Amino acid sequence: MIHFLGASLILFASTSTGFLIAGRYRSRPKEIRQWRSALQSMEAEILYSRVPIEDVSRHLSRQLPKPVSFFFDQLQEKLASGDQPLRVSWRQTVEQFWPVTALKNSEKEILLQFGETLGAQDVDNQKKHIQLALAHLEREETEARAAQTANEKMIKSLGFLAGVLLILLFI
Amino acid sequence: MEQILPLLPESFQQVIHHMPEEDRNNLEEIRCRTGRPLELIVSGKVWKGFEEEMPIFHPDQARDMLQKISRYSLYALEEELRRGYVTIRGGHRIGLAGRVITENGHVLRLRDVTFFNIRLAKQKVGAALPLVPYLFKKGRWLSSLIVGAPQTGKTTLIRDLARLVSEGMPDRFIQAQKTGIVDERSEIAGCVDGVPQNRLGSRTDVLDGCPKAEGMMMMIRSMSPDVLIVDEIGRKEDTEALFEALNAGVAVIATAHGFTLEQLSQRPTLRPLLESRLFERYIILSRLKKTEKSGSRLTVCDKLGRSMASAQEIWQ
Repeated sequence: MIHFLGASLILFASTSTGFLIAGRYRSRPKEIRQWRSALQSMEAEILYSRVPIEDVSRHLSRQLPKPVSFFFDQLQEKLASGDQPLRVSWRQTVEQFWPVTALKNSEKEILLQFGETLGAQDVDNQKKHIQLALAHLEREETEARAAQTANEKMIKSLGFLAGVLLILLFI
Repeated sequence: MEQILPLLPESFQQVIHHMPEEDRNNLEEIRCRTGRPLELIVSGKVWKGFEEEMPIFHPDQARDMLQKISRYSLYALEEELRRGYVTIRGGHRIGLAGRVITENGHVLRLRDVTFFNIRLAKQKVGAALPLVPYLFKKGRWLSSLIVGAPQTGKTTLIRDLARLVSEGMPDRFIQAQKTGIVDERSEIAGCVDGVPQNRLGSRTDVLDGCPKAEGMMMMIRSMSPDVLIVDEIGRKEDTEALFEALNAGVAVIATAHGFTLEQLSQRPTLRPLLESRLFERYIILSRLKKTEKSGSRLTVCDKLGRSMASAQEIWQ
């Protein structure tokens, strides 16, 4: 009985580890997609209605789904309260936000780079910078999707199989 | 003041904090020029009450200041950078200068903004009260032209007139009337996002940032005002639009740059307006030179330019 209980515990642990790691592969393209739609909304608001960043952030924090909305919520709070420049607030918010995402360092770099120029340009240049960030994110997304199809299933089954292997070794 | 202080660099804020209460209340302009010391204009004169040297305005401070003015969204200031001034909350105006980018000979926008002139808006409620007996006759306001050199208080006066017209004066049996303001330079109403920051009464409609000539016609057609208020007329189109408005039975209260009525009638664009005697009152403003305080002398003239009365007014 105790053998059976131990075996099932090992199997459960290794399978859920596999799912957890696979989950990161699954969330990454999804989150990149959310970021892209965030930047697209931002572009529209900047281009057509010249809304200041603080108000854009407030709108986005309401519109977007969970992890990304959290970022804009934080950013808006920082801009509304403190008197530090947008550049600094953006960087701080990215750092704060990072632990809760499945994104990788390459995306972080893109976002940090984007924050450097945000709000410091006229409309045309701002548009170019948004387009650039969007193009980078798109490339990351295709790469993330490829990684997802290649790894997600494999990692899941690897977790399960590793558990089975361990059990077999113990027997 | 609380809207302006956060925009300034730390060291400038300190200087203003150290000013005596009275001087701070009389502060008119804060001038920041890149590479030059801070300049404060109190009651029309450069303030020299600071015992130490005034802090210098650095190029990166200029950049920061512009960012702060735009709330870190420079693209939202495109129109303002073309016109060269920004109106901020509280109705204060910040004049901008620096390097201009042109396209086909037209100003595209300012690029490197290096000079700032923060003009503190001070609405002087009641400034136009002495004029009421001359401008209000038989239940209606008379069309009037306010003439004065820069900084004599034309805008202060016309703003308060707008308030009086739209609030009315129950104690003098003057009813509130519909007021339309065409505020090309956002100076009368001091609008931020289309909402006036100054006290203008409850019966006022404002066209903010609209060219006067077009705006006057828009206002008459769309909002049917009893009294139309416009600032700084002087171009040919303005005169044509004024003819239309005055003949449409709307009372117009306007301002124009000039020292005297004679000088004004020399200007080819304004001469037809004066000759046709469409304005029923002229108010001439001149600056009081001798006193320490800033103030103006008001002279009210009738339709033919004959003086009816004069009064002195201290603004602060």
